[in-house]
Amino acid sequence: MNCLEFRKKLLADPRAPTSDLRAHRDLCPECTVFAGRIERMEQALTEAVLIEPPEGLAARILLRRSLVDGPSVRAPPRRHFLALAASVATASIGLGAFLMWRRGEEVDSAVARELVAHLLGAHPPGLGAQVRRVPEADVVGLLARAGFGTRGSLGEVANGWPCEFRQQPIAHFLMAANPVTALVLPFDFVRRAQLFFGAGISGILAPCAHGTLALLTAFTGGREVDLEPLVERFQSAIISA
Amino acid sequence: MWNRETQFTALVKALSNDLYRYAFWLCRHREQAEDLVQETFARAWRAMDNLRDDRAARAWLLVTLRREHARLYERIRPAQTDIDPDSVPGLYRDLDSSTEAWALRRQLALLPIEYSEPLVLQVIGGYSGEEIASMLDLTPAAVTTRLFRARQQLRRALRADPEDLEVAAR
Ligand SMILES: [Zn+2]
Ligand SMILES: [Zn+2]
Repeated sequence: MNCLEFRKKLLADPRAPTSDLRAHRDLCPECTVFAGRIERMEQALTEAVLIEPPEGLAARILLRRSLVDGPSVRAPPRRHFLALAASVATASIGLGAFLMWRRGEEVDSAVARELVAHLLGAHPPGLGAQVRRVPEADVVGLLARAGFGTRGSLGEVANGWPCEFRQQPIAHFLMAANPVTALVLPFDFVRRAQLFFGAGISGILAPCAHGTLALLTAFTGGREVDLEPLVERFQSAIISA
Repeated sequence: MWNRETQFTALVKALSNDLYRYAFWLCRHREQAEDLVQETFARAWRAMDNLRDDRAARAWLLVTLRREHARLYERIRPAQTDIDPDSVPGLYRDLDSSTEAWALRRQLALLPIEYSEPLVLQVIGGYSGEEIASMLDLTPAAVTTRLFRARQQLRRALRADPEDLEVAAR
């Protein structure tokens, strides 16, 4: 191997020098100097390539998965859950960094954080686990448990969970079309509908009877689900019990 | 017993950061990079049955992300020479220690994608020339040439060793 071959080969892969590279390096003082420079550049290059990923990235990926396929049904190991909750809390999902509220109105960031923590938390097996379709009567039952009545259909529900939020019963649905996750909460968090999006997630918080409807879904590359017709359907179907 | 969700969570935690870095160097845009990572993992969730082997899953994710990037963004990406690295959001955000790394990041953003992509795969994935060749649909010889040229351009741009430039010229 001559010096030119050595340098070409080294530049193509300085990370794992082959035995012929090492042999030339040991015999050639110029190439030893050259290899030292390349080694230093390689360290700087590694530092340059390894940009810092945004905070809470993994949590947002898992959140998005839970929005399209239902929440985690197994109790996650404790350490895992705490780490996720911490990353959600520090990144304050819902405001600023990654969910940019579209209309300038601020939702209490604590609410957004708690909603996300709820969606990432462990759930019991859902009502639709077997058939991927929840009978109308069970949908009505879940809403009644949360203090809501009905005067119409929500549409096809793929799954539903009897959940709690701030110690109150809420209804948690996965809608069959699209799919969209819906939470019906007995708290009046918003006065008007508020849209938000970011990091592959879009959603809306809207008043619904005496409480709040939260719809969340995944979107990327411009393929955004129009949530407003679904909001109108929920608002007309759900009444105070 | 194999559990889809447990394995998906493990994959996300192990690989989302590297996948994000690869995405960033493909599109050179932080928000687009996260969208690409999200879309790639959405596909991985649907393909989990075939991703039980970790090393295979890693390669699958990188190739899938690359395809998503081509599908969503390649047509709207400006020509490489039009990119002003100082306008790339977040390019320098987390570099404070090494001025050389800072300058390299700037030069990396200016490299044609044909050169930067194999380089980034080698640095973040530790892949061999053959592995990169099969991911990028190139011959191993073409990958070796691109890796050599990529580093040669970076060195030239840094003006680290002007006396070594003849190596490239010959
Ligand atoms: Zn030599
Ligand atoms: Zn729930």
